[in-house]
Amino acid sequence: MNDFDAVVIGSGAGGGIVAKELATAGLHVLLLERGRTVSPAECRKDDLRNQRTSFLGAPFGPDEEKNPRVAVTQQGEPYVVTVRGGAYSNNAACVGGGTQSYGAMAWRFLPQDFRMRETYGVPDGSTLDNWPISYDDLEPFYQKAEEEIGVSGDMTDNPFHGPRSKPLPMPPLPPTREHLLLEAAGQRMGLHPFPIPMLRNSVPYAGRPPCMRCRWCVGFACEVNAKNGTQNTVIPMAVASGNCQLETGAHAAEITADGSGRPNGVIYFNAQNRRTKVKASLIVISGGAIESARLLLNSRSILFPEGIGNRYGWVGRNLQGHCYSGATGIFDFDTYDDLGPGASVAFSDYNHGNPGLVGGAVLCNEFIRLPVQAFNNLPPGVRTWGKAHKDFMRQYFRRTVRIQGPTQEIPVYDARVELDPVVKDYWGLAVPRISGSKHPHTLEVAAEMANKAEAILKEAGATNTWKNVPTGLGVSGGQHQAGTCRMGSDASTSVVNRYCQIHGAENVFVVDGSVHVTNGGFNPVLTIMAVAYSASDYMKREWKGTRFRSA
Amino acid sequence: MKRRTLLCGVVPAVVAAASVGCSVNAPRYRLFNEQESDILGAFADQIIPKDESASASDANVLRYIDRQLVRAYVQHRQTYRKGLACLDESARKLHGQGFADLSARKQESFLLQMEQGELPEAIWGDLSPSTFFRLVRDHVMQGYYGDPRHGGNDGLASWRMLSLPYPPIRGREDYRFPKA
Repeated sequence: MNDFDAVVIGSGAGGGIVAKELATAGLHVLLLERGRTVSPAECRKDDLRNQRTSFLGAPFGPDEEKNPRVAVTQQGEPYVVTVRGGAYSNNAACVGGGTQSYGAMAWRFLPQDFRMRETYGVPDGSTLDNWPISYDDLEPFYQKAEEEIGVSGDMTDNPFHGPRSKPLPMPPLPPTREHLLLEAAGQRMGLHPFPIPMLRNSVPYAGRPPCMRCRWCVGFACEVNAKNGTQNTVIPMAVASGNCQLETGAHAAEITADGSGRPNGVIYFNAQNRRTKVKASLIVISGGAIESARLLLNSRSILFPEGIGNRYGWVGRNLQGHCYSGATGIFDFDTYDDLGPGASVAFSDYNHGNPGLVGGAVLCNEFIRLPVQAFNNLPPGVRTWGKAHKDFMRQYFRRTVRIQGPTQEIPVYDARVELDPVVKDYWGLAVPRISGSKHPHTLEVAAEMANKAEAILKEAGATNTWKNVPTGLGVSGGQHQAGTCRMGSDASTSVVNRYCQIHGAENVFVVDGSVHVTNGGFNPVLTIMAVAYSASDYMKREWKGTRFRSA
Repeated sequence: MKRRTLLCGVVPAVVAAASVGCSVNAPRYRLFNEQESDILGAFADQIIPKDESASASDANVLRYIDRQLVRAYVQHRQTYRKGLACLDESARKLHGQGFADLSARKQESFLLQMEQGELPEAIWGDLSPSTFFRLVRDHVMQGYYGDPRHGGNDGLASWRMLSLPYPPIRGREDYRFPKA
């Protein structure tokens, strides 16, 4: 006898959507979230303690002391990292996951992003591949995400996007001063600037108000609830259906199996740290690329002695995020207008078609900078402290423009999440161990993206420019973490099929960035949402009243 | 006690009166003794020196660091204790005087050496001078540019310097929509 029809582990971009889709279709759903509920009133506007600049802590989780991880240096030395350390690759742990505090760029990947191997071939030392689904397969689900979660923007001036069945449901926010400056420069260069699509209300939408344009955006909860995540859209819909029970403070430990090895539920530690076991027909894992892989690896059974879905050792492989690079320019007039969210104008001209390079990135002006986020971005040669630093801040804080882009990473098999053999978390569970490197070509692409960004700034009239390029080969993850449970048709080189269903465990699904074969040259959240709608659609079709179909 | 703290924090202009009140018996910092706070204060004022706008100590950056060393930066407490002692000992060895007593010019060139890792290694042992330099520099920057609620940026010193409007919530006053 099952306690629930479905248990969904993780309430971020992926899990929130699956919970709503299943609950409104009549399934009895348990939605587990290890973090807590965050309310719009909790926008504390604290530049030292937020999800973006977490110097003093990450208020939207996870709990620092209970959740260590292990990172491995490029020299092979493992060390323990906490939530605040960059190598931790933190996203968030709260209702809504990363969507509670994200920057909310709402990109569709391009048709080529789903066919990277076909477009470029496979670079040496990489596991670059095509997705088993196409842009066209996902298009209706992108459309649904844009409408149901709520996206503002206007794609008219962007000739590079794939075919769309409908325009975006809300107009873009009015442009910032940076936007106007860079748009004019881009047009003079023959480029195609356009407003960044955002999961943010520009007008009243779905009962919530529009953006107030304050400077506390990425990394913070929205004071007026105008930023759209799963926490203020689909999760309330799921709960309102009467079919979804949301349990916070629930830390998943393992997926359980019956005597024959068929997965049949989950063990988690509840908010009182009591070990709790629930049974469900359908198990959906949406913990993000690091925690989802960890949960699978921590779930051993007679059918999967190395962890569910890990028969061929692919769980945790191909960890990727984005290799950010760009440039900064200073101007002899004020470019800062104190208008949030700040990021406003985009160029998709360099996502593909860069001679000799695999992929590229969308280039955007950076989100609004708080002083504490800006003090360490100085031109080369300016001393990082003392009178020179102070003079620079005084003179140029309001005259600095930064353009950057998320370079699409070339997947590498050895960039991975494993279980650490030594370190355990508060509940005694093996913690994720993150190791490996970026592909060297990723850095070459990122370097060229920085050149492109610098050229736009120069054309815009910057009197001095410098590039912001990554120096090391350290593995990426962070808020854009992806790739660890690759989607594919071949069970020996992937973890899930095109419906996010684990090969050989037909009632277990992974629905988050983990399944991305490649991560696009864009912020990945809208793709996670579209894949979640697509996978939910399949689960609903295959649901047989009281149980999930047997393969 | 409460009134005294208030005086020290909010009315730096009344320096004489306030500092008399402060120096009576209660220590100014939870962690730093007087010698340590002198060294760190001189260090911080080289990172953010006084000019037409506030210095690090004007903005009470030491209070930020002191407070965080018993909270979010507990793990750096021993590093500070050891680092400040090594720094002072290095200054005595090189210049025959404690760091806080050096001229501003000498302090600056000393810190440049420290940033480059060019201080006598025997004194520092397993602590790297350049790593300690960067740690303190970053904490000073946070205390100077960050939110006053954490103990630094007194009187919104850095935000005033950068002409950032306060309260820092653009649009709240004329926002026409009811909050959700």
